[in-house]
Amino acid sequence: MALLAALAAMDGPDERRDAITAAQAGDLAAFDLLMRQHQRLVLATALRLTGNMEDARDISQEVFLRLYKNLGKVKAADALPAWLYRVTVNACHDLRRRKPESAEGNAADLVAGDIDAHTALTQAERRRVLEMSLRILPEKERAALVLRDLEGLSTEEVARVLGSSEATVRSQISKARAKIHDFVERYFSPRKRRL
Amino acid sequence: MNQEFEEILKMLQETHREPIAEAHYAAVRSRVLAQIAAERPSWWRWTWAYGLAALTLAILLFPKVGRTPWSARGPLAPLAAPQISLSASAEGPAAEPAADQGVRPTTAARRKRRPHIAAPAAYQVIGPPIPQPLLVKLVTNDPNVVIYWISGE
Repeated sequence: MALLAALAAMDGPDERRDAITAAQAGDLAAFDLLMRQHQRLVLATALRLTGNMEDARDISQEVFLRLYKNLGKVKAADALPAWLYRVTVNACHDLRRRKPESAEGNAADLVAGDIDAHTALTQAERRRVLEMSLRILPEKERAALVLRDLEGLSTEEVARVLGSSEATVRSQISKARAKIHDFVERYFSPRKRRL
Repeated sequence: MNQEFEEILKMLQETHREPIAEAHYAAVRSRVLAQIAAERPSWWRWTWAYGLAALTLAILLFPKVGRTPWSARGPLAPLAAPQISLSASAEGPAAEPAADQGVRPTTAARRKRRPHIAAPAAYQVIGPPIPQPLLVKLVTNDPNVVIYWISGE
């Protein structure tokens, strides 16, 4: 709960509560402020879960529209980040069902691709490999790993967001870590051998 | 493996922490606000409907407001020939104080009056004046819809 509490207190609890109250009364400027307070949370999570910015922007738009329609149900500002994580994960799941090809990674091509040993490992290349390593994961394992290891939520918070038990989340994270490790090892090992 | 994964995880976290361009955030916010604005009910477009509803409600709640039906009207007093003295018509109307006639005296009343010529007897009506109905014409945004409001005194 520590991280979600910290997120909730980013702009001060009073400011957040005021923004929610004003947005509930129909103030669009207050809702815009509410979006600014949570835009990184939603967009960055969606980006890691979908793997591309275009889908992440669509997801973010959908999440904030859902937030606007459900503002009346938001009772406490502290509960908002967890709610946004849950809606973002669900929206990514819906997108994956609608457009399965957009969320599928092309990791096999990446691994089988021609690796130039003389080319330095650039930042962009490293980022590409890491993003691909997330895309090879099954949906639930990826969500658990993104929330736990990248967003920094506790296992209990991840379980609550995903609607699973803590044991299930631990298992998913463990599998996801092993798969990412294998993937990155497979990618970097030929380079290491040549160097 | 744990140590190796720690390095991988560290790189993943660094990648994840890289700032996202503000343009992406701005695009999302503008799209959301535009969609909300498009879906919001535009109350001002229905002002005429609200006005019509209020008028209908007022007529229903106060049924006496409106034109008196012909069946409810009493017969008019028969015309009678007035007794007019010719001398009065030559000299002007009787010089009764305006206050006695139920009219507030004005400066015009104190002016020198022109000789008054009495109206022909056939056009004079005895009895209380007939109330003239009030006709209000309401023009709406729709050119095919014109509302007439007819009311008594």
